Amino acid sequence: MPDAEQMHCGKAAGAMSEAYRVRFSKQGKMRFVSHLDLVRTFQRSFRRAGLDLRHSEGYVPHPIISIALPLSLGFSSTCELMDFELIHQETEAVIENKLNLSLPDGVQVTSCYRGGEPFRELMWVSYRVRLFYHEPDNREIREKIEQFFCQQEINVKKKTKKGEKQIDIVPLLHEWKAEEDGTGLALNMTVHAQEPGLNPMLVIQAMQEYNSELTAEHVLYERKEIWTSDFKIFR
Amino acid sequence: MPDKDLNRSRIFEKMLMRVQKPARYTGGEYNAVMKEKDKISFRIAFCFPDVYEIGMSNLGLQILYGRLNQMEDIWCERVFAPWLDMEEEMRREHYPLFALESGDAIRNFDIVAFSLGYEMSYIAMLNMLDLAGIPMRSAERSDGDPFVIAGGVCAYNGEPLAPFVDAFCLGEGEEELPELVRKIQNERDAGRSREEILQSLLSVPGIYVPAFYTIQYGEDGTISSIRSENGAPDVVTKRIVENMDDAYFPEHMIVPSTEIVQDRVALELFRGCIRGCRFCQAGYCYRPIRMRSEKKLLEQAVNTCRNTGYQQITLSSLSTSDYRDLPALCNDLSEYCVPQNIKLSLPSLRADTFSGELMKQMKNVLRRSGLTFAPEAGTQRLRDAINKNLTEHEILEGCKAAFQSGWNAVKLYFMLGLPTETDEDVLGIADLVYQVYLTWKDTSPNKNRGIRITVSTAWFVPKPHTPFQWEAQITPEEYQRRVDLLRDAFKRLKCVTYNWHDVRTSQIEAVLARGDRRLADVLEEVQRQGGKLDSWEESFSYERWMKAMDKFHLSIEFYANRERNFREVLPWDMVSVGLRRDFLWKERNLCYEGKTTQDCRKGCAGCGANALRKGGRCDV
Repeated sequence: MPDAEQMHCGKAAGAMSEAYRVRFSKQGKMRFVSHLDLVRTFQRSFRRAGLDLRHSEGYVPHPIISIALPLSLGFSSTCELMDFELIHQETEAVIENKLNLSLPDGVQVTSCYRGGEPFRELMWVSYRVRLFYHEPDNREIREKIEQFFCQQEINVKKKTKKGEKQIDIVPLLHEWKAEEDGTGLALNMTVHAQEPGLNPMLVIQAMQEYNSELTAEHVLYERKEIWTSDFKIFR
Repeated sequence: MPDKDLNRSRIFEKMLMRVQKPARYTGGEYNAVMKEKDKISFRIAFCFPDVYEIGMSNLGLQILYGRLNQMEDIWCERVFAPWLDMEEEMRREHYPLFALESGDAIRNFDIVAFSLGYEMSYIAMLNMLDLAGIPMRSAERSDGDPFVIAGGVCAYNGEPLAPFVDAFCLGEGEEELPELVRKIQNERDAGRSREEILQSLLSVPGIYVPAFYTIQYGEDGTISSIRSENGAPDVVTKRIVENMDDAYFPEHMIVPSTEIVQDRVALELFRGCIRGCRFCQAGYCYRPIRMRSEKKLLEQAVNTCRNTGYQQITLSSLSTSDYRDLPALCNDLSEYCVPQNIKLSLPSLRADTFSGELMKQMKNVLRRSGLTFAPEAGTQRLRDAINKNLTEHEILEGCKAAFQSGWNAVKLYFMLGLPTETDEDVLGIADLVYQVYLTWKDTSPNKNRGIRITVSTAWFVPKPHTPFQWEAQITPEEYQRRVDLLRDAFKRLKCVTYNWHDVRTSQIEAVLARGDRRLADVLEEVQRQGGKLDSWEESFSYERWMKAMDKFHLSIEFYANRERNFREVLPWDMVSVGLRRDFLWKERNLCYEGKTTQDCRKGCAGCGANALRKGGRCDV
């Protein structure tokens, strides 16, 4: 068993850390857990799973995990990515299994692998936004939505750290499609992921400002897929 | 999902998106118990009358939740008080109070159980009953309504809540609560009426049914008699767990997904306290002393850390340095913790047993936080009077050991308004703190970082079942005067931050702590007028209490600031925590004589609690 002292230093002589990536989903009750709390939840899950995460150096070492793209509170997702390093090598299938036994309901690892592109190359994100209207005339609503998206410019006020900024979201919108979905309408859209990112809530907000009849009773956001700059699935 | 449920869950989601920290209302945490509704026949809502972050830090909740859920046909779920924004949403949407696990409305449950740890949570309890749609008064409940029970330290004088509670569960609930549940379940299955079921509870030891007692008041406002009916005993004695090693411990503690106040494994080292500080309700009420074995604690520590993934363990008790095997326990825990990167936390250390050696030994594993000592009084005279057997020398030696080990922040807790206190005693606090500062100056190896001394004074509240239960609390004006006296004295010490406890809540706390049933009307009125979370500054209103007391012609001063006569019938006389009344009175007199009583380990003072144990011996 490695010397206790060496454990504290994280990377001791001869001990290599093993880097992994997992793709996971965040659904159900876990949608309401913030990004920071999700990180905390994962840290504990690793411990419960008996998987030793590499720790940072310093007086209070903490486990190092890194999530690709923050997810807004209330959103569900099936395409979240997280990087981490383990002290000891484990097979990917074992990691996936052990983690799934130790995670709270609502977070599930769907695959575990080595390598993967750097997070900064994650360019586009697809969302499925479900809109529920009080008295839906879905065809009429779809037409109005189409009018909204066909504008040359869509200006919205975006809150930044420095205050509010007016931006045009059209260049950040790659494609969109509205379709009927059970009792509601589903709006599938692919938006720019980061630097700058476009939050679909901003798109919906702009849509409602454009035409108040488009204000839905209830909106559900789901992140469906992530892409590289040339629209290959980001891994 | 049927339309009605879908609609309801949509309303719920919309509310969640509009409030702060929505995860407090969703449940779904790791180790939360989920059961299938068609396999269970009895549902319990365990209610903690404060917000999620506070309630989930409570070890008692985790213990009783886990214990009750061991019963396969029973489902115990958790309920917390919603924060003000969520309550507003719930009232607007007519969304009744629900349990976290299932999301179901608790008014359809069989038992709604409240944990009462502090008096300022009473209003939250009533507000939760209101939000749940459960009739607030026992007398208004019918066969379809849940049984409302209450337990915890405040149940030792639950009189202000008597008309609202069907049964109080006195003492430690690990065995008592399952017995109560089975009794209600069996009687209900046999088709008994509500009255009959309450009557049957008399056969469960430790259960106090307030409806079976009639209180009469004299002309001077004090109680003239307490009469029991329906075969109820004159006095109900609390239950204790006989053997701490056998007592249930939640090795599968619920792990919140969000940040709460106490995010760690709490190990309960022992119950009760040997010290006998005369103001301390917990020290007396948790007697007789019963220790957990070191072996058991180690086992619990390892299992719980493994099952939860927590990286911190707190060694919890009323006076941790009095745990017999503390050095051995710390040593063995360190061996487990260090390689796992788990930190240990040791709160509740007494200055006189604070061991520099132990601290040095534990350096790698101890969580580096501020050091806290509670001298409680500034002069030796007063410390002796309250039986806090701590000399100035011991306090300073404890600080010295801490400073030498590298601590440079220390918190010192005191009280103002203790019986026999004079201005000299108040100023003695400043003198003592100055001595602590000088000690730091003389002994700290690294003075560059400076010293941070935080002094906190609480306003003394006399509590039932203590030697000071007959005392008068000092008035708000007098408290403020003493605070100002002390503030002035601290002006010359720049390194001292002085925090004084809020003036008004302590007086209301004093009213409720020794209150009687007449206060029930006041509580109901306070809730009706908007009282919700009185333990929170954002919600507490002294004016609301004043108005409510006035409405029912009751006086705050009568309850808080009046000295009781020894012969007076006290509202909690039907409850026994095992202490002899004459022992308490003797201790009270010793206080006024300035004499101390030795701790239980040095010699038994005859408090009477030992009689609660089989064999009549405390585990000191």
